[in-house]
Amino acid sequence: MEIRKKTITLVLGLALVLALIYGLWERANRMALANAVEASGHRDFYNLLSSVEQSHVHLGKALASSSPRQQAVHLTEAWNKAAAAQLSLSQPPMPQMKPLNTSKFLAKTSDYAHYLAQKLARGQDLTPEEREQLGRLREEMKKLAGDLRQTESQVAQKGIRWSSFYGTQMPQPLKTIARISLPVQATPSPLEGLINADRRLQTMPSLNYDGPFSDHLERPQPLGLPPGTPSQEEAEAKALDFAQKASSVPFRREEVRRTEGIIPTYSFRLVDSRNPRKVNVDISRHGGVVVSLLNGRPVNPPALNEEMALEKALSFLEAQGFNNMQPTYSIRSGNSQVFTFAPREKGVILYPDQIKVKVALDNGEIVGWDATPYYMAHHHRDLLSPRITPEQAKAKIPSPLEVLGVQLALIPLPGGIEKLAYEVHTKMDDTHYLNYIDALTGEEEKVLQIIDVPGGRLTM
Amino acid sequence: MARRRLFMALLVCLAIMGITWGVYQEKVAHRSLPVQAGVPVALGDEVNLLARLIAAEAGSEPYEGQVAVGAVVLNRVRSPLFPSTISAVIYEPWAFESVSNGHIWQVTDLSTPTMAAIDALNGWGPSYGALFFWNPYKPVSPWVWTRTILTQIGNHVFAR
Repeated sequence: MEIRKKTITLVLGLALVLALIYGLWERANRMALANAVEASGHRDFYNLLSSVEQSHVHLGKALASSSPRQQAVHLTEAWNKAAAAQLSLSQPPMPQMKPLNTSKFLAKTSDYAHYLAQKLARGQDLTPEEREQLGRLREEMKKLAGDLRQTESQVAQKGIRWSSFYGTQMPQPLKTIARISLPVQATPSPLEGLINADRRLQTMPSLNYDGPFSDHLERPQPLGLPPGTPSQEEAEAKALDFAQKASSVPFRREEVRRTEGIIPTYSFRLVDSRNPRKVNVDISRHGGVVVSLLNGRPVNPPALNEEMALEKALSFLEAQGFNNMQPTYSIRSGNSQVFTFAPREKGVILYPDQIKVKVALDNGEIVGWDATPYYMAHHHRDLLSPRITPEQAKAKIPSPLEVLGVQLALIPLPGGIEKLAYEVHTKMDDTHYLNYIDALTGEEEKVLQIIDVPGGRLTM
Repeated sequence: MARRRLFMALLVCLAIMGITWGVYQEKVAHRSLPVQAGVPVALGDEVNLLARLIAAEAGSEPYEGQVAVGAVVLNRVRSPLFPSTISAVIYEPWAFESVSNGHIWQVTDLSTPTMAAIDALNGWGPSYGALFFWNPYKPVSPWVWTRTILTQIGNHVFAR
């Protein structure tokens, strides 16, 4: 009896020791992970702080320097630092708050500095309004740096433990008991500085300029929708007809919903009368045109090649009344081929008015249609005549590049601007480029690199 | 005496249960490493990254709902309110539930989500410029309901 008792005590004791060791080991693991989280939180926060401070300094230097060349250098730095700050801002864990206004401010400042640097590079000077705008942005950047420094003193005194923000949530009943027994006191959040900054930046003055984040582009309006507002029944008939032409099988409606995007639509989910496959078709509520079609069916191994697929896409476009479309890019996506088309008007390719068509390579069915860019941008344009000749445009290309072709194109630039340019297809070593030369001034507007990917080409 | 023995046996049982539970927990934690069919995968490719997020967030949604989730990520990349790369958008703390709970590294069926990711990257976006999506049948932060709702696809509400 005595011996049995001893054995049991021994086993129990051993189990306890094992459990203790296990617990300590787990704790050590947890601490290692918590320290890693702590380190990454600190790294992101200090990156943010130093980027904001440097951006502030460079904005100041851009205003202080007298030569456009120096101004451009400092604006480029301010652009990079503000962009880096915007990226760092999103990474440390901040519970109960999302600094959306601060993020927007940093993105816009970065974009604006970029726009001004490019303007200087074109040989134009800053206007007094632009200098004033820049000064206002610098002032805001200074205040933001101040708020961040206030948060920094909390970070340095360990008032903020980034890893503590990741704790598992207490179950609701326990939370309620805790709240009743320990009434929460209004202690300032350790992130108070950032919260204040975000509240202040909510009322940023508007910025209008030729860049993607300019205020005049926040709500773009479609330019290409025909007049008239069809009823839902008319839209449905159109969707059924379009889907039938794309797939050569009849469909029936399964579901309809209204969407409130940039182009408000009726969105129909259609189902094949025989097979259980589904197609989604969006018909614009103004104008009643087919904005998009998406067929998510799995596509079998190809029976068609790219050329045959292109034929299918072109004849489908013609059947829809698009007669002057020209294929521009093409990319293989799984067992389908996606073609991007742009209209050609009086020998000019209109790149803003794109339509994408996706062809299934197993049976040539049209499984995708996206005319959103077309209906956003298409309108009657009075195209200007080029003031330089194709030969003059070619002469602008530096000598190591070999010229393979040239054509006129209307290209979209940041800020919703369209420019008439010569698209010069060039080659250096084994890399292809597209150089765009302004057809009125002869200035180079941009360069794209063509990237060959399996089954297609992309530009960057 | 018998009662004391019973009590001790009970204690031993508890200790053993505790240890097994700990070991089990450890196993579960191991599963959240990036693997695909048991093989670790590189997450450098952004198509794969997007496909994983779509699979984890909308794996059981209709196809257009999957493309729409991919489009939300890409709309965020283009928006000044969010970071400017796909990876920074996806791994922003608490931006996506499946990243917080590790579900994004456990998904195995990536065939349809990969198609959806490619369609989203090719510009198909039935999310109509949406920056947020959530499941209206689950508890969510009340803040999201202040956004402008654009549409609902399957079990997800999309908003700007």
